[in-house]
Amino acid sequence: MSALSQDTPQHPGGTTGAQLDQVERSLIDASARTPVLFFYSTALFWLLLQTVIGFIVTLKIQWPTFLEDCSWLTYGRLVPAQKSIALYGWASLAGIGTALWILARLCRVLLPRPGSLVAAGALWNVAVAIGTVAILSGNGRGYEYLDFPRYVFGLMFVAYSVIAVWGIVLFVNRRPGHVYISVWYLVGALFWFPWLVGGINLLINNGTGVSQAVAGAWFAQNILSLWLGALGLGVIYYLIPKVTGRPIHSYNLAALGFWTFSVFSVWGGVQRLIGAPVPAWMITVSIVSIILMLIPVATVTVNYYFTMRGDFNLVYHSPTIRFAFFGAIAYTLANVILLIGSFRDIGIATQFSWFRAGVDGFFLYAFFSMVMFAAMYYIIPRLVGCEWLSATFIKLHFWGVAYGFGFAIVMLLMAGFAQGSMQLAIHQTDNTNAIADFMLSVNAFLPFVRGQGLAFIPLCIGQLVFALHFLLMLLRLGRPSGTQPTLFEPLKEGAK
Amino acid sequence: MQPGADEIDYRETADLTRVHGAVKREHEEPQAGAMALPLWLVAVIFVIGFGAAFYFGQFNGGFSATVLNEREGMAGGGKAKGAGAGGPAVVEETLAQQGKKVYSLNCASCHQASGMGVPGKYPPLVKSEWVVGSSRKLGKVILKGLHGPITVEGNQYNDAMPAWGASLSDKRIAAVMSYIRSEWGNSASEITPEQVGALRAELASRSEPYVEADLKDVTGDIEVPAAAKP
Amino acid sequence: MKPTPLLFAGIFASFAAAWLGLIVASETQIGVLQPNVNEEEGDVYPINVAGITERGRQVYIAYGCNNCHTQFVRDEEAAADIARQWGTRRTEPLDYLYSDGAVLGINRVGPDLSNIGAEQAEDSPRRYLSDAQWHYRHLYNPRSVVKDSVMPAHRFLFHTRKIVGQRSDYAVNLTGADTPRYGYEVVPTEDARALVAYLLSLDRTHALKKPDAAAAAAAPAK
Repeated sequence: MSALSQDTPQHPGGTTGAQLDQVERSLIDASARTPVLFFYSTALFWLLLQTVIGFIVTLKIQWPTFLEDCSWLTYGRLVPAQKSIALYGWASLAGIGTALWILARLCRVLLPRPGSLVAAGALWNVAVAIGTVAILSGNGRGYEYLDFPRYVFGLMFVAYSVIAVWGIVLFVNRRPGHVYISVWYLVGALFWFPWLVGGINLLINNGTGVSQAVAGAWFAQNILSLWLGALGLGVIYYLIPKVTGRPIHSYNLAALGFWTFSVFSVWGGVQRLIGAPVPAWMITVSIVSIILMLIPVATVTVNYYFTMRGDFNLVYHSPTIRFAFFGAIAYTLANVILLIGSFRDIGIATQFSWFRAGVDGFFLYAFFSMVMFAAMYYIIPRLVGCEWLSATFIKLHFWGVAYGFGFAIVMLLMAGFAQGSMQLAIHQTDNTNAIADFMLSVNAFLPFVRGQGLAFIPLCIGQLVFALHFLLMLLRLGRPSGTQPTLFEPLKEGAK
Repeated sequence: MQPGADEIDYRETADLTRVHGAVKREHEEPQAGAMALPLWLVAVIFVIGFGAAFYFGQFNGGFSATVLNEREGMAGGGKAKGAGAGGPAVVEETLAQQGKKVYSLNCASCHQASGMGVPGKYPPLVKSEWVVGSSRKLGKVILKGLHGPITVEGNQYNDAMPAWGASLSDKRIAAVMSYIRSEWGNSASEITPEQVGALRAELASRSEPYVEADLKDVTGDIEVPAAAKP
Repeated sequence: MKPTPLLFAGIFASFAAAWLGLIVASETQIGVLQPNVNEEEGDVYPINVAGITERGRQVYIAYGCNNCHTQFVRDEEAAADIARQWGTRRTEPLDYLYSDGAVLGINRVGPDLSNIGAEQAEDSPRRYLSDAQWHYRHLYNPRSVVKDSVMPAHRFLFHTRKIVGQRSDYAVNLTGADTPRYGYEVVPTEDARALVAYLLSLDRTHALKKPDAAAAAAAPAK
C-alpha cells in the first residue's frame, strides 16, 4: 500500500513517515529540477515570442500596410507561425514539464537521467525553431496546427520518444498501490499525442482533397481538446487537492469523467467543416461527440466543485488555486461555447469565421495557459528552493492575463457571430456588386477584431511581469522558504 | 528510499529546512474519496445521452458518402436507401414552406420579413397586385430584375431589384413565389418549378432588367409547354 | 484498485475507435474517388492540377492565403454563397480530387475563391475576374482595385526593373501612386504568375453526375 494513505505510519529508525515523505519529495524535486526548469524557461520564451507575433498580427489587421513589404512577415505566414509556436513551443513544452514533475511525484520515482530529458527538450526547441523559420520562409503546409513541415515533426518525434520513454519508466516503476486520477490523464495524454501527430502526418499527405481537410479539422480540434485537455485536467486534478489538502470528492465521478472524456473527445473536430463539402454523417458524429462531451465536463466540474466546497476562500489567497480555478471554469465554458457554436444552424454561421479563433483561444489560453501558470506557481518554488518574490507581481500577472485573454476571446467570438450571420444572406439590393455586399460582413467583424488588439496591453504587462518574476526565481532571488508560500493575502491563523 | 534519505542526511542536513520549506509544509499527495455519483447528475447524463442520440438519429445522412446535406435523408424520396438507421419520418415541406427560407435569406433584407417593404424604396408584397396578380409578370420580375420607379397600390417606389435568375434555381424561385403568393393573407395559386423553368427558357435571351413600362401589358399565368410537362 | 492493463487498453481502444471510425472511414469513403468521365464528349472532370497551376497552389499555401480565403460553396439552402455568385452549385468532394485539403480554408475574411477562375459572361459585372492583369494589380496593391480591402499587399511577388528594349508582356499596368518611375516596369515574379494561373484555373462549376443516377446506370449494366 502507498505510504500516503496511512495516517500514523510507524517507521524504524526514529524518523516519522511524514519526515521520510518530505525527504523523498525533496529528492524527486531535485531530480526533476534541471529538466523541468529547462522546459519551463524555453516554454516561456515561446510564450513571449508568440505574444509578440500576435501583437504584430493585430497591428496588421489594424493597418494592412504595416510591414507589408516583407514576405516573411506577411499576415498569412505570421498567423500559422503564431499558432504553431503557441501550441508546440509554449503549451506542449510547459505541459510536458508539468506532466513529468507530477508523474514523478505521484509515482514516487526519481526522474531517470535528467540530462537526457534536457537533451530531448533542447531538440524539441530546435524543432520548433526550424519549423517557425520554415513557415515564415514559405514552407508551411497550410493545415491548422500542422504547418510545420514533416521533417520538423520527425525531429519532434525523436525528442518526444525520449520524454515518453521516461514517462513510461516512471509509471512502470511507480510505488505499488492506487493510481491517482492525474496519472490516468497524463499517461493518456502522453500516449495520445504521438498517435495524433504521427498518424495525421502519415495520413494527410496521402489523402486527397476533402478527406485531407477532414483529417486536418479533426487534428486541429483534438490537439487542443484531447492533448491539451487531458494534460490540463490532469494537472487541475493534482493541484486542487494538493493545495486544499482534501481528497478529490469522488473516485467514481473521476472515473466516469475520465472514461467518457477519452471515449467522446476523440470524435470531435469535423464539425469545423459545417457547410463544406463533407458527408453529413461525419459532421453529425462530431457534433454528437461534442454534445456528449458535456458528460465528462459536467462530471469533472461537479467533482472540482465538491472538492473545493468550503475552501473557495482560497481563491483569494492562493495564486495556484486562483489560476487553476480560472482554468477549470474556462474549460467548462469553452466546451459549452464550442457546443453552442457547433449546432448545425448556428455552426453554418460560426464556422469559417473568427468564432473558431475565439473558441481555440478559449482552450489554448483561458484554459490551458492558466492551468500551466497555476502549475508553475506551485512547482517552481519547490524546484528552486525559494518563494515567489512578490504577491503584487503575481496579482499583476493574473489580472493582466485574465483581462487580456478574456477580452480577446470575447471580441473574437462576437466578431465571429457578426461576420458569420452577415454572410448568411444577401443584404444589398444590387447584388451585381458582390464585393460591396461581402464588405458588409468585413465591416461587421472589423471593429471587434480591431478592438481585440487592446487586449495586448494587459496581456503584455502580465506576461512580462511573469517572465521577470520567473527570471528572479531562476536566479534564486525569491523570498526564503517558510511556512507559507507567497499568497495574495496571508491566511488567517487557524485557517488552512 | 532509505538509502536516499541517508544520502541527504549526510550532505545537506543544514540546508534541508531552509531549501525545502515548500516541501515541508505541503499536503500529502492527493487521493480520491469514494462518494457515489449524485442522482441528479445521473439524470443529467441520461438527458444529454438522449439528446445526443436523437441528434444522431436525425442527421446521420444514412452514413452515405454522397449525402452532404444532412436534411436530405429526412425528406424520404430517393435517399430512403440509407434510412434504415434513420430518424422519424418527416412530412415533406410544401413549396411555400420551403420558400420561407429562400425569402428570409434573399428577399427579406429589402421587402422585410413582414412583406411590407420600405416606403419610397422597396414596394410591399402584401396584397400587391404585382404579387397576387399575373404570375407571368411576377416571374419576369424575379428572374430578370426590375429597376426604376414603380407604382404599387398608388404609392411610388424607386430602387433596383436584382435579377435572381442567375443565382436561384427553378425550384427555389418557385418556392419563394409560392410563399409570397400565399403568405400575409395573400392567396394566389402555387407556382411549380416547371412553370419557372418554362419562363426561364422563354426569357433566356433577355439580359437587362425590366422597367415598369415593359411589364404594363403582361397578364395571365405562366404556361408550361406540353412537352415540358412531366 | 484499477488494474493498469485496463487503463492502457481503454486509452488505446478509445482512440483507435475514433481513428478508425472517423478518419480512416473518411479516407475510404471520400479519399478514393473516380473522376467523372463523359465518353461521348470526351469530357473528364476534374482535371488534374499540374505544371504552373500546381506551383501556384503551393504558392497559395506558402503565403497562407487559406487563412482568409476559403474554397467551397455552401448549399444554397444553408447560406447565401450561391446568391453571392461564388458558384452555381454547392461543391462536392469530387471537386477536390486533385486539390490539397488545406485550400478549403478556415476563415472567410476575404471572399470565397472556389470559382474565381470560372468563365464570366461577356456582360457580367464580375468580368474583371477573368483578367490576369486585374489579379496582378490586386496582389500588388489590393486597395487600388477594392476600396476598403483589408488584404495585405503582396509586393514581394513583383519586382521593379528597368525596361530594356521592349516592355515585358507581363508588366503590370499600374496607375496612381503605384506607377513605376519612367523607364521602369513592374513585372510579376514566377511565383506571382503561378499564383494567378492557379487562381484562374479555379472553376468548380462543371456539372457533376448525380450519384444516384450513376449508381442506377451502373446497376443494370452488371
